[in-house]
Amino acid sequence: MLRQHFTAKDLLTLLVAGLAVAGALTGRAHRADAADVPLAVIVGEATPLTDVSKSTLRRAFLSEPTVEAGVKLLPLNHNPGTSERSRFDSAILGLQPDDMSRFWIDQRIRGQGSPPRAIPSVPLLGKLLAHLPGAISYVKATEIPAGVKVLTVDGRKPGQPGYALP
Amino acid sequence: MALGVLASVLITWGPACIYHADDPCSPGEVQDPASGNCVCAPNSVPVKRSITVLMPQPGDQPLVSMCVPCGANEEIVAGACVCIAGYVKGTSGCLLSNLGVACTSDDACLGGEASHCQLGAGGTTGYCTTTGCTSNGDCQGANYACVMGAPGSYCRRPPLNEGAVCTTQAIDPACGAEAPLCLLGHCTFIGCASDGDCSPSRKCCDLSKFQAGAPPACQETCL
Amino acid sequence: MKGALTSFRVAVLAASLSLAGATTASAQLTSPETLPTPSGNDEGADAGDPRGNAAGAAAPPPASAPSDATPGSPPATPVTSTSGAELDEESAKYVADLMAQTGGGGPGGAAKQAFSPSLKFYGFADFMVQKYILLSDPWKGALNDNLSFGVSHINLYADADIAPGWKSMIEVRFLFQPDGATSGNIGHSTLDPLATSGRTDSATHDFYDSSRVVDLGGIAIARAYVEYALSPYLKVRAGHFLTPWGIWNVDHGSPVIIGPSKPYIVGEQFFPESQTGFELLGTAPVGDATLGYHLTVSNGRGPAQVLEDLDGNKALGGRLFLRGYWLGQIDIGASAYGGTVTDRRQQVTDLASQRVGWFDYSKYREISWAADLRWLWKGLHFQSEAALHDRAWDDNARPPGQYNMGYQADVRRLGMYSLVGYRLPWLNLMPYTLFSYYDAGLNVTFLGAHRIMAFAGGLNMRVTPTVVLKTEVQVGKFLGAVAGSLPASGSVNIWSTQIAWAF
Repeated sequence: MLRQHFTAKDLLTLLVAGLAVAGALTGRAHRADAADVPLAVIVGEATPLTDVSKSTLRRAFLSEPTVEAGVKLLPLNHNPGTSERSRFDSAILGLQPDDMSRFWIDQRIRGQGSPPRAIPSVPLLGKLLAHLPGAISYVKATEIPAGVKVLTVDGRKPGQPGYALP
Repeated sequence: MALGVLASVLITWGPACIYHADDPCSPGEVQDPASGNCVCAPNSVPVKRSITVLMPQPGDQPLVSMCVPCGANEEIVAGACVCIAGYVKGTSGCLLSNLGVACTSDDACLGGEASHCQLGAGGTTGYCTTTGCTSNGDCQGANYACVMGAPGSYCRRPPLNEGAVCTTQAIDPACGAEAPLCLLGHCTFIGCASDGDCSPSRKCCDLSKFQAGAPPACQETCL
Repeated sequence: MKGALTSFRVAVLAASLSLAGATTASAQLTSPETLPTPSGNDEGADAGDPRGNAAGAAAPPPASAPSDATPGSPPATPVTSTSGAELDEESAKYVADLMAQTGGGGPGGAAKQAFSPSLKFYGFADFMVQKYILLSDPWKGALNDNLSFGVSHINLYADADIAPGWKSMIEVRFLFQPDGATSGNIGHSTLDPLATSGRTDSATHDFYDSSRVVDLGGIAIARAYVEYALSPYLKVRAGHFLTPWGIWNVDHGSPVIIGPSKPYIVGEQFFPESQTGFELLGTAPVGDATLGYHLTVSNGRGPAQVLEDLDGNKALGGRLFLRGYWLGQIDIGASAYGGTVTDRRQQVTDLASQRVGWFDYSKYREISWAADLRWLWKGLHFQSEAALHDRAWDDNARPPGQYNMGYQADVRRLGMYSLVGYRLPWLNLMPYTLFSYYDAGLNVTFLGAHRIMAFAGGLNMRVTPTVVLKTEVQVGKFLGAVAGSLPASGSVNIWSTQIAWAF
């Protein structure tokens, strides 16, 4: 009975639904953090940095050797799948989660390195930044762990217009 | 520093063009338009490189360093330049020679390079030739063989009319006495015992497989 | 009825969108990024768990999460710590491990003492389905146009951090060849097909299976080098490494490469695919861009290139590239390489004294140049390379020509390719087109032609980050072919499908 009444509108509805499902299955859709709290770039208090450029962050988190103000940077990531990680990769590296997976697999096959170390929790991240010279990472601006300081990015603070991180 | 090294390398190599489209082959060679490979220019012969091969295999391709053109009064025979008939190898190429000129005594030969008159079987007429050779190569580039005789070694003329065109597939009077057999359309010397009985460009070939009892004959290539 | 249909439409839409929402959430967490590793130095172990961590979508994973990222440490005890305060055991191990990886000495050399070498195994493989299509009769006689299956690559990497600042990389390719491959006897076989098949038969008898026949394959060593980071801008490698030229040769592996077949400039070895010697490499920031360089010195090419250098000339090479992030990512590079290739043999120089000496059977100088460009912008993928290769023989060491026709001439080869693709948001599908051109310089190369142009169109689908499906049709047309020759009889068309996977 339904088949007799399928119209062009029904077919269009099915097509749109199918594309939505297909798009979701590819994992390209990114769900933004509900609170939209900006990310802050953090280093240990003893690290002699106050500002970092977006291009420096990109180099560091692409595992290219990066020296800033005489300090060799040691990038530390969040686990894949976390909202901080997805937002940071998208803003600084221009890559969505699946793109990032493919990127590091491709880099391995080329023999061009591995991703920065992932740290499973913010408190642990804070301890490591406090004790490792040059360690650099990112957290939500409302969850700054003790013993670290926040850097400006290209001269801008988190939340300021033009700030590089969402 | 690394950029400087790379720049030096590029500057060194940039103008150092190693490929020249107008000269892609060795001296004396030209590029075959069909295949693009290098071949000897017309009327030129390859100069083989001197490499010792103690156990050659069928199909070994000789290595060549260049090709050299044959000189004036030369022709290519079996991949080598040899003087054309009536000319002999001198210090400056092929020269007109009295080698082979008819004579009756040494006096008749004194005017040329070939100063000895080698008389024939009858002992009355012969031809001017050279003596004292040690190998075929001493016989002035002509198709003469160095053989031992009464005056010592001398350069023996190839049989008269050898190789001339004939039609009778048998003893052909047109071939003369020295190369009397008309074999495969050419006058041929018969009765050799070894290659040494033939001129340098020929070999003594066994013909008995074609006809029982046939005497050996001097041919360019044994069948 | 109308109401029922409206409800149906709404229900379908709602169901699809909610399914999309749920799938998105889980896709973020279940996409394997990198691959499980024993030491967990990267994120492979975390992301490799297909069950993912659904609870972690809205909050960071708890500190007591499985210690996949920690080398053999016990679960962490949450401790509020400030800078300078004592660390708990888990944090201290992290600190020591990370400091050792950076090459730092750490307090009292503890980091170096804490360094433990790590070894990771990973690799890739691919399976091909291939068929020549729409061939002319002469080409059908020359090529096997049956649909064929084959495993073309099985590459295994052994990647090790062996000491602070030191790294080892060994890559081995396993092949089913040489069994079944065309042998050097192919010419002889064509003249006398009863005497030999023209194919390599590497079958042997298995002693442990009643001497039943087993086919032996082969091993090719793609890379084997040790690397040391002298500074953030300078690393040195020693060993056998991929020649750092262009894009395609560096991409190297089938999961990375867009299509199933190589462009001519890569396949015809305008540059050597790999070299044995030393390589210096590094990158440095230039404003917002990155400048990179490679310098190589090696034995160069030759019949014994991986063992010894048969002439006194070392091959030099280099690459310079600039990577910028204007309008996506743009890589521009230039590569160069030059050397002498010598086939040096021995002959008896004096039989009486049994003395031998060397002579050059063949010798040529070569220079290669290349330029490359890659542009990635949102879904767009464009890459192009052009190359030139000159070969000039020594007059006294010019070998016989192909098919024993004359002698090999000096030659200049030219070639290029361009690939354009767009990664669609659906199914990670990338339709692409590839154009390539090759001038071999000598008609004998293609038995009557020296130029070929190929057009290819295909689809590349990244099913998951580790699995790639590709299909492509390529049409190769010879230009200026000699009338009546095989290339003049028509184009060579091939359909290829490949599934490549990383593990």
